[in-house]
Amino acid sequence: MAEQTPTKVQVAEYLDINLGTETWECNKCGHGLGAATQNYKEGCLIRDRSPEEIHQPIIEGEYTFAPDPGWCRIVECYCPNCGVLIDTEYLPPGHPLTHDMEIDIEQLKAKHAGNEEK
Amino acid sequence: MSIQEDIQEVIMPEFDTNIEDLFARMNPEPQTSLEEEYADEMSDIEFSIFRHKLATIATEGKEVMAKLGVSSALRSEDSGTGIYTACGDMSSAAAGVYYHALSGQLPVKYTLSKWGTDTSVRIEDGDIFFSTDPIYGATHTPDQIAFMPVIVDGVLVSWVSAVAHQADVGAMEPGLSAMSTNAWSDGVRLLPHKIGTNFGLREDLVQSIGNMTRVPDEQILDIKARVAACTRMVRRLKDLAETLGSEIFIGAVRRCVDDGRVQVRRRLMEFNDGTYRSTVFIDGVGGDMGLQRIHCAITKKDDKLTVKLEGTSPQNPFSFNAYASMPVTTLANPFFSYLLSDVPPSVGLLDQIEMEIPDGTCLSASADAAVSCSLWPTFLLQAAAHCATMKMAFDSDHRDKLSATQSANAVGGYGVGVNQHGLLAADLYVDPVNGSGGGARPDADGVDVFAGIWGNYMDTNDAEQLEIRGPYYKVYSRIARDGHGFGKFRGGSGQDTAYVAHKVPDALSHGTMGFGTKFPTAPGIFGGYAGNTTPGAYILGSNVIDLMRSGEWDAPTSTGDLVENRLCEGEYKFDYATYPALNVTDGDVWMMVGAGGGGWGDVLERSPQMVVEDLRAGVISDFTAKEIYKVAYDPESFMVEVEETEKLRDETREERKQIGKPYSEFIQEWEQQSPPEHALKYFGEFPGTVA
Ligand SMILES: [Zn+2]
Repeated sequence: MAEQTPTKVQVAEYLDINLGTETWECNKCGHGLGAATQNYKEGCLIRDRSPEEIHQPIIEGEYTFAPDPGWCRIVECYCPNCGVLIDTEYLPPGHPLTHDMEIDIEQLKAKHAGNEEK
Repeated sequence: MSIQEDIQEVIMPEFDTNIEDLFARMNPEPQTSLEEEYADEMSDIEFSIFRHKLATIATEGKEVMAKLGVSSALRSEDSGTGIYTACGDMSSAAAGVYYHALSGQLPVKYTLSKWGTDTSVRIEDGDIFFSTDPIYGATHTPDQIAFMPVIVDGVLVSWVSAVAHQADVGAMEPGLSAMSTNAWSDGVRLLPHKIGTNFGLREDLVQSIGNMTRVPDEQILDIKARVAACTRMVRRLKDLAETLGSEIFIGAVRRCVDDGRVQVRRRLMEFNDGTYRSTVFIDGVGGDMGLQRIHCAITKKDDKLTVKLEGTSPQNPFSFNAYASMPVTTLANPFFSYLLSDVPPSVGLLDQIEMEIPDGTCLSASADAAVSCSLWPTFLLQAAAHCATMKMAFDSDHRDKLSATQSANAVGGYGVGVNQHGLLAADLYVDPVNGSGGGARPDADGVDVFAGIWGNYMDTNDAEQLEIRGPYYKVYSRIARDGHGFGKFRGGSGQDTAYVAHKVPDALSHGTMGFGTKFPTAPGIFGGYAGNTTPGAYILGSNVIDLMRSGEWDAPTSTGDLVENRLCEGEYKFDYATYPALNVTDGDVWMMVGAGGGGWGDVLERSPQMVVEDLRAGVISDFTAKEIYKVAYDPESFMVEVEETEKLRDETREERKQIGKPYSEFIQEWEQQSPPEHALKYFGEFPGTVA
């Protein structure tokens, strides 16, 4: 083969890092999600959901058994191509999203050096 | 070498309460010359057997304590025993609760530093020490610790400790004192001090300690259970040291610390370098509701971890605060129970961790702060650290040790008063807490009714024993419906339970301890949803007992079922998970909603068959099966309609793509929002900056 196949490393349930291009990729469909030095969430589609859509209230009033939608939102990150739910965060409205994985690419490359398999 | 000479060799600087000093004391002390000289006396195999013996001795001590104690927390193994080097570094532990054993280093080191050379106290063979001060090792005032030196032929060779939670400690409120506003309302706060000599307790001192609590007899008996655990461990260790020779024993006990460090380093080297962050939120402070942020950024480089907590909310005026010695011990559980579950626990771990905590946060509170509920913000830190470390470890050979976060927010409770036998009694109803749900795993659901977040070996109460001890009985004990985080693999559900007061002679003071009512605290991972939220809930003047007598009681399938369908009469009340203590009497019911662990992965990837099995078992609702998991099924036969399910799931993925917004567009709108002002009362600057 003329060119060496870039090695992909699965670093999360739905996230690969492509060591050749140094980019995030969706593990389900291979869709690129931006530079691996950036937050992969920047390459995702994002949705703000009321927690009551997921955790059903049982009663009415202040204490419903569900999270309070005024205090807590569910922020979902999807792959723009296949729609897999890559990450969920429970945040107060307006609270910055977490840069949860900032992997040292050089060390990752060194660790997987010589590992040709995909 | 005489005791005094040996102690002088390990003498430590004066103890202070500032963060740096507490941190320094948590890390292993430098090797003494004796420890160094005898470090390699044993072959690897001999050492391996030795270390196993220490673990067995620690376990025996824990069992002795559990069998002899009175409080249900103690009997259900909300406890820990530790074995330490002569300098007070943890070499082995049986847990229970790893951070009890780790933080047990502080009272030992304090005692060495403060009393070792004080001729009015001294440290001698058979001495019994006791402490309840959260600055020096008790994680909060109820976590009382007994500890003893192991002295062989005049040489101090080791220490042992036994810690367990006490149901009442004479605080402002009975049980846990969430409303406390300062350290002086947290209850009995004893510096590490001597309560016995020559393997015998000073009865005058022990009675005095009992006298400071609402239930003296229990306090006294439980001190004796802790001390029995210590004396058993001392006896075993002395035998071992006499057989091996003191010097060889000293070298081997220390080797546990240093070998532990080597194993921790080796494991850390296997994980990818980088920074892993997690932010979680707790929705109360003790006497009030409000959001506090617990943030942790873990940077892993080679075999070192740097843990930064910048962005964590400030100290609050109530009791959901912890002293700075707590955060580092908190890391023991995600490590020793998960990523290092195959490595013998020792303080060697802490040598690899650098902790950076700004002053004045709720996890680095000042010495005058109330810390009755110090565990609550600490559990949140544990949840955050758990998420971050699991992400760090995903790309490794240790994926079998991963999970989403286990639940932290079950509503526990306590009752203090005269019981049906006319005796003063205090008890914790730890079953919902110790029976919280486990986190989902990479290839399996979380365990239902698993353990408390701080100790994976804890048990729920024995229901009959509880009913004998207190004027109440259990109305039901269930697995809460939808009480966990959904995902490809779901979190485990917690034990959902209720008690009814019965044959209360006068009034029973009942209160709860919990959080996570408005904001869930067990995050999901890799797209999984968080565990459930848990309100406080009770019914005054119920007719449950009448219904039982007449055979008309329709036992609820969960607390949700009871309150939704009003299965008994009475005044239904809902509140925050920690509500002020109230006096209950016959017929009053209090419900303690079980809490579940976080989910793992995308709900649309969950096996439809597993969904209908959960539905059939009552673990999830129709709503969840249809609207969350998007499974089509026959409601009579519970047969999955495969094609229809595929279609629904494809449509949902398309819908996500329609509704989801590109990042920058999303952020523009998102940044305009904020929580209501009253929710931010204790938050600090919103959103502020995080590490
Ligand atoms: Zn994709």
